[in-house]
Order: sequence, then C-alpha cells, then structure tokens
Amino acid sequence: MKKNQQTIWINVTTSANWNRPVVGIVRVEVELKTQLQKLYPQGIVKECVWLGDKFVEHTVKQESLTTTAKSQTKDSTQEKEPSLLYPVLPRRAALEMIAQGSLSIIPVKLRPIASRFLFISKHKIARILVSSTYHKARIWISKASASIQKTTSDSSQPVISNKKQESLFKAGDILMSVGLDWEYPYLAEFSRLREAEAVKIVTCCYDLIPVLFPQYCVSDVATRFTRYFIDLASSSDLVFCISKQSEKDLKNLLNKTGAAQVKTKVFPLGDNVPEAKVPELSDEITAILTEPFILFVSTIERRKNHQVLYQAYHLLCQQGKQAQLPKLVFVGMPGWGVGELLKDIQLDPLTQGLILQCNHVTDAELRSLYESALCCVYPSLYEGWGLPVGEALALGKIVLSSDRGSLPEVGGDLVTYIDPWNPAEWAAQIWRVTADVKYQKTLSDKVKLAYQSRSWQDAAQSIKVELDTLISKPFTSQTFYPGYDFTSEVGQRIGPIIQSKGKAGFLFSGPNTAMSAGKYNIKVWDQASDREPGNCNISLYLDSSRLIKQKNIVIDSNIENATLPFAEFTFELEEAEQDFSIKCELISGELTLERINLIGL
Amino acid sequence: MKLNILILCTYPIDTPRHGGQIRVKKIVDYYRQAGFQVEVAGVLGSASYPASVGFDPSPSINELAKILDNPFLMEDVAIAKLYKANDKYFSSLAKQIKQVPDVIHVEQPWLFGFAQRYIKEKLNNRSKLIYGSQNIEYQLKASILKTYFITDEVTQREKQVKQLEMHAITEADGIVCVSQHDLEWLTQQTQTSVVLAPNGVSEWNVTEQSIDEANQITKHQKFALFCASGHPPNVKGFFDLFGDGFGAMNHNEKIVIAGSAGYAIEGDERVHQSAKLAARVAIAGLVSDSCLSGLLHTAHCIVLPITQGGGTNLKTAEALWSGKHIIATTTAMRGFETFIGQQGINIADTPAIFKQQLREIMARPPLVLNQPERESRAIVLWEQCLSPLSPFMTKIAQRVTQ
Repeated sequence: MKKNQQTIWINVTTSANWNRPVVGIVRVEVELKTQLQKLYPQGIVKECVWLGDKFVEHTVKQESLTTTAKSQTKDSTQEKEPSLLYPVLPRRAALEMIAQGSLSIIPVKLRPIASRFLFISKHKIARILVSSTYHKARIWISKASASIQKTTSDSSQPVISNKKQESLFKAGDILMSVGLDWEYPYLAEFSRLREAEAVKIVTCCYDLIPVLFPQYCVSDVATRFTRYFIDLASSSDLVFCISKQSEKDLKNLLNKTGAAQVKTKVFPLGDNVPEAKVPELSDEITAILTEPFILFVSTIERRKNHQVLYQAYHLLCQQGKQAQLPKLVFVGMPGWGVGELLKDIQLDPLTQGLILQCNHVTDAELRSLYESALCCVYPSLYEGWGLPVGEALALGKIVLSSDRGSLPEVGGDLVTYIDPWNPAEWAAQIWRVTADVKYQKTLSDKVKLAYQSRSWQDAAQSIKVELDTLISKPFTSQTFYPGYDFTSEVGQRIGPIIQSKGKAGFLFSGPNTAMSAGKYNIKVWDQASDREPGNCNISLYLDSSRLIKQKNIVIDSNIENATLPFAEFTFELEEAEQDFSIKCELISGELTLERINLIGL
Repeated sequence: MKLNILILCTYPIDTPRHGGQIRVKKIVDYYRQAGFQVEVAGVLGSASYPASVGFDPSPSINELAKILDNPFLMEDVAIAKLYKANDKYFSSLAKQIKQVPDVIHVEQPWLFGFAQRYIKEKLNNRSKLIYGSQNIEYQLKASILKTYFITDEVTQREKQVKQLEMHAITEADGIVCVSQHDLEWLTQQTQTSVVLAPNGVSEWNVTEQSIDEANQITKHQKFALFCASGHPPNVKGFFDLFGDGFGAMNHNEKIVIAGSAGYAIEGDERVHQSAKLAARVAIAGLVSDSCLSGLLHTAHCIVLPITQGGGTNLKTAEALWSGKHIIATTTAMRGFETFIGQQGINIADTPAIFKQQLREIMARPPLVLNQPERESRAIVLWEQCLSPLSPFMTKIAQRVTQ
C-alpha cells in the first residue's frame, strides 16, 4: 500500500453486535463490506467498530468473515435467552422516555417547573455522560462484559485490536457507515471526525418512515428521527439512499427543517436470494411446499399491511372460493400492534387453515419458498425500498404489490400494483392470478424475460464509483475565523475576530486540524485600520511542537497594503498530519486578526 | 413654545425593558429635549411592574373581575373601564397628576377614557388629547386571544378592545402612529391629524467589558441573536418559524435569546418538540444594556421571527443599526420597508425558507457595510424617528390655546 493511500473504513458495529439471521440493514452492511473488500486491492478496505467512545479497528478470523454462513443455521442459543419485559431502547431514547414519564406522572401545575428543570438538567446529565467517571464506569463494564463473553463465545467472535492510542483515521480517509446508526451514539463523532480529522463520512438513508408515518412505529419517534436525519446530513459528506423515494423524502425533510444540503446518491440494493450449499428444510416448510401458496415475506407489523390480505381472503371465502384458494404464507416475525389481527386470523372460521405464519426461516428455506410460491404479495403502506419485491422478481415470480413509497421503483412495469387500502381489489387480483392460468403464465413470462436482477456486487460497484470520486476529491479551501476557531492568550475574541489589547504574548493559536498530504497556501488577513506599528512572529506547527515555517512580520500601519494579506505561507505536507496549527506571538504593536484562508494547491 | 405635556400609560418607564416602555421613555426624552415640560403618570398594568412615582399600583384581580367576568389577557381593558367609570380609581389617578397639562398624550387606548373625563372634570376642557397608537390593538389582541379562547369568546373580547380603540381614534385631537401601514389604516378611520413617528433605536457603546459579558453567554460560538420580550406574539413567532424540526444550525452554532422571551421559550414544551431546537438555543434572558450591546456587536446575524402584530418592532430598528445580517419576516419589517432588498436584509415568511436562509447566512462571511450603507441606516435612530413630533405637538398646542 502506498504511503499516502487513503483507507476506506467500513463501520461494522451493527453486524458485529448482531446474533440473529442476517436480514435487512444488517445484510446490506455485510454484503457491501464483503463486496467492497473484493473490489478494492487488499488493505484498502478495513473494518471498524464503535467501542465505548471511539472507533477501533475490527478484525475477524477468516472462517467467520461472512456472517452469511452463520445465518444459514438456526441460532439455537438465541431461543434459550430469557425475553426482556420491555424492548431495550437506545440510551438517548431511554432518557427521553424517563423524562417523558416523569412529566406525565407529576401534577399538571408542576409540569412547567419540571419541564424547565429537565431542560436545565439535560446539559448537566450530558456532561455527566461524557465525564471521565462515567467513561471509566463504562470501560469497566465493557471489560467485565467482554470477559464474560469470552468465556461463553465460540471461535467466530470478533477480535478487537486497539494497540494505537492515536486516532484510527488519517486525514482523507473515508468512513462508511450503513448500519443501524440511529441505535448508536456515534453521529456526533462523525461530525468531529469530519471537522477535526478531515475524515470523509459516508452514510446511508434507508427510509423516513418514523418521520412520515410515526403512527406505524412503536412510540412517537418522529422527533427523534427528525433529529437523527438532521445530524446525519450535517455530519456526512455523502448519503447513499436506497431509492429515489427515500432520497426525495430525505431532501424534503432537510429543506423543511433548514438542515444541511448534503450530497445524496441513490444506489440499488442487491436482490439475489442466497443459495444454500446444502438445502435443509424443516418439516414445517416441507409441508408448506406440498401445496400451492401465495408468499408474503415481511415482519408482521401494521405498516406492512397484512390486514388487507386477510380481508381479501375473507372476502374471497365469503364468495365461496375457499376450496380453490391457495394458502397465504406470512414469513416474518410478528412485531408491534398486530395482536388483534393475528387473533382475527386465528379465530375467523371462514379463513381457518388458509393463512399460515412461519418465522426463523433460513436462507435456504426462504429461497425454496420463493421458488415454489404461486406468486408473491407486498401490500405495504409505505416502503423506502421493498427488497422482497426485488427478490421475488429475481426468482421470476409474479408480484402483486402496493403502489406506495418506493415500491414502483423496484418492480417497474413488471408488477401488478394495487391500492393498499382496497381489500376488494386485492381479492380480485389474487383470485385472477389463482384461477386464470393463462394470465398467470403471461405475467410470469414477462417477469422472467424482462427483470434485471441486481447483485450485491452491482450495488458495491455503484458505491465504489462514488467512493473513488470522494477519495480523489482534492482539498480546495477553507476559511477559519479566529474568534470562533482559535484561542488567544493576550487578545480579545470579538465574534469572528481576535483583537490585541496592548500586551505582548500569544495573540492566536489554532485551528489544530488534521490535513491530508499535499501543497498548501495559507493567508492571514487582519483589519489594517486597527494596526499599531510593531512586530510579531507567525509560525506553522505540526503536533503543536514541530515547527515547519516561521516569519517575523513587521506590523505596518500604512494601510496602502490593506488589500494584501498580513502574512502568507506556502508549504507542503508529505503525508497526512493529525494536528496542524498556526500561532502568532505578538512582540509589540497592535493587531486585529480577521480570517485565515487555507488553500489547497 | 413651552408646553406642559402629560403622558399617560400603563407601565413605568424608569427602567424600560419592553418595546412599549422604551418607546414612551424615548418620547419623554424627546419632548424634554424639545423644551417641553413633561409629566408621566398612569396605572401599573401588571403586578410585576415595580412601583413608580406618578403611577397607581396594579388593581387587584378581584377588582378587575368586577369589571370583566374573566380579565385574563384583558387586564388593560378592565383598567380602562375601571379608571373611567369608578370614582375612587379616577380620583386616585387624578391625584397623581401634579401639573396642569396643555396636552395629554395617552399611549395606547387604555387610559383614554380617563383622560377625557379628567379634561372635562379637572381641566374645564382646557387641554387637548393625543392618542399614541402602537398597533392596531384590536387585531393584535384577537391574535393573542385565539391561542386561549374559543371563537365566540375571542370575538366578544376583540369587540371590547375595538370599541376602546375606535373611541380614541375618533375622539383624539391628534394621533401619533408607528408605521406607514398603521398610518394608512388610521386615516381611513378618522379625519384627525395623524403623524408617523416610527420606533427607533439608540446608539450603543461597545466596551471590552460588554464583549466579555457577551462571550460568557456565547462561549465564543458563532450565533444568531433573537432579542425579544416575553410578549406572546414574540414567542408565537419563534415557534411558528422554528417549530417542526430545526436543522438550520451546525452543532457549534447557537441562537441566543436575549430578553424575557428567553424564559418563555425555555419553559415552553414546544422547544423540545421541534427536533434539535432545544440543543441550539442558548437563553441569555434579561441582560444588562452593556451585555446586550456586546451581544449585538458579536452576533453573526439577527433573527426577527415575528408573525403577528401591527406597529413596528423596536428590535428591527436595533437589528438594522447593528449592521449585522438580518433574517426577518415581512411583518417584522413593517415600518422599515425601505430597507428591504438592501445589503444584508433577508426576508423569509415561511418556516422552511426562514430556516434555510438562516443556515445559508450562518455560512456566509460576516457582513461589512460600507460608509454610505451605514449612514443610510441612521434614520432608525430615535432622534430621527421622533423628529416629526415636535412640530406636530406645537400645532396641536396652538389649537389648544386658540
């Protein structure tokens, strides 16, 4: 690897902490990491995880590199884990819930006072959470937990290497994070890495459902996720979106809130359903495969709209078509808010035995189900993409789908679209596909002929194009305003400027930023009208101690020179540096520093 | 011509804080500089005002409730009726007045009825009456009441305010107003002479200490400044424009809220309901003049998120004189329309545009006005804003003596 070769870091915190079958976002993270490691020369793409309060390099033994293999066998230990009384929330959400709960149970009259107290305490709690004591406690807990895990884990557990004390990243590196990022507290770190360490941050937007449709989520998550997307935009150089719809939704939200207009790029998710080397099927799946069935692959939750399929089946049964109807198979875990629906399905004598559920399905079983299904259905009320539609089409299946959100982007004109709020229409289309063999064949042939499957390699390739553009993008320029970005020992910081106050000493020092290798020009601008004759030393440093340039400059109060910078330097860095600073020692006279321009040459 | 002028109002002006107080204080100063003898008297419109010479204490809520069933947000109307009709209260305020005025200037319509009775009973009709309009009061009151009352109740209360206001407009010998918009409206309501004397600003000094005081609040971060009293329209405007998610500022930037609006916003749950808003707000609250001048001097931009109310905003004049970038609604620029389109003045009337403009302007370099631009803003200084008052009062006074 070349000395100044930038590294592409993939944040694998989500998959490294995942113990269940690899689906959805976890699959995206795993597949992209795997494919990008294949596309780039060895050593360019590395993995990192969030540990405590920083990113550390993550290395995994070769045999467990692809968690796909892990997903092909059921995790029997998982079923033995005792279930928690309530689902675990991220720390921020948990604190919000505590605050919300406290406000809810105290008397109405005291709420304004309590609200004010919580607002004031918020910052104090935040300080405690970042305090050294808290960190020590977390590290201790983390170590204790790691030692417990070590005694119980198998050989495929990740090995954390954290030998270096300094930052994992060097200026110009890319950090790509496409996992469940809202579940982790590292968004602020993205922002810091971007500003202080010149790391380019690449993230992903899957969908804005919690913001647009909070009613389909566990609690009122709209504010939390609005906050998340605002932060995501301000801490990213590039946000990948998994559909045009998600990109549009994200941009709308950013416009509405006045958030940073981050660059976005749509990339296609892969839709190839993994093939098992040894397809082992459970008795339950084997039994399903013996009869015709319609398949719906999705977690069972309100937004996915299993309701409309149940209603359609109920209508068809009312019409006396019960005996001819294929089974309707739901593949996915039951989630929140579907208890009544599942009860209806269980008790409805008309649809009795027609609607089946199965979960913990392996990749091999899923593929078999897709391959044998009469058709696949997807009546979701909103999607950011709709991977099961793509997977079904990739295997040549007829798809009946809702027309909402991004779904038309997945299936184009190969899918029959139906209003997700219209059970009668769903019943009619299901019946037509079931009963009209000729129609069935026409639709199926059309899909098999025209659908262009998207592989994960294709997805990674389109990502690579963008990463290559980003990595080769040269540094152009940056303006520092010393009053905000620098410190001063003998001057006064007045908004953006620093003004001397008649004392000799360090007038300014900063910005202590990371810089990529390259040639630079730096211009120091002052307010010429404020000058009082004297002189000063201006020095450029690396790591605050390695002097790279120094000039003694006479402070000339002749303002004929006002159109020229007060000082100017040109210099070259052979390799990326973590800490660049410029310092001014005022020896005599008066000086008001206005701005500093750093220009890449 | 040396005139005796009595100014009647419902707030003390010893230490002016809110816009109404500042305006009256400046008018008093201006009249005195013009050589007039000025006496200030009135009734404290709220128990939160400190006692002041010439002012009756705030009537108890029980007293006001005898006038209006529910005086909440209608205290000024109740005071108007009480001091006009109740002999005890009338006499009490009348005793506060020490001079014999040639002209009585009633700021806002609340004590107009009292003034009329006073002229009739105590001055033998030998004084004329100026109505100092700060707003189209009934419209402003209705917009505030809408937050708290159902439509019928709002209509009924609005009617009472309108009655008082129209009485002052039609009965006054002269009217002083604060904006061109108000002037046009007033001239449609009455034949009385109306003069425009907009709200202005005083020049302020910036010292090392004032910068240090400001830095204590801002922690050297780049910030947008919002200066406002806790007057409900100010708070409403803030949430109208910054509610529903606030992404307009980076993590190292803040909106500093100076004035009592800060406390009202801090204690309002809407600040937490708008994503990221609470994290970007820094409450300065009531600050000294010195600190305020430091804040005005070090701010990157000044926001004027005002969505309701007539009249003119004192804070707009202050923002204009600061020479900083300004983001304002059209409503906030009322009375200062001539500045729209000038360097550094940005108008935004919808939440999305306001927030987008704020983000864009926070990323711009600091605003630097050239000398002619700077000079063009001198018309917002009080001495220029109030300059039409002297000839106007003299004209009215001459009518008095005729």
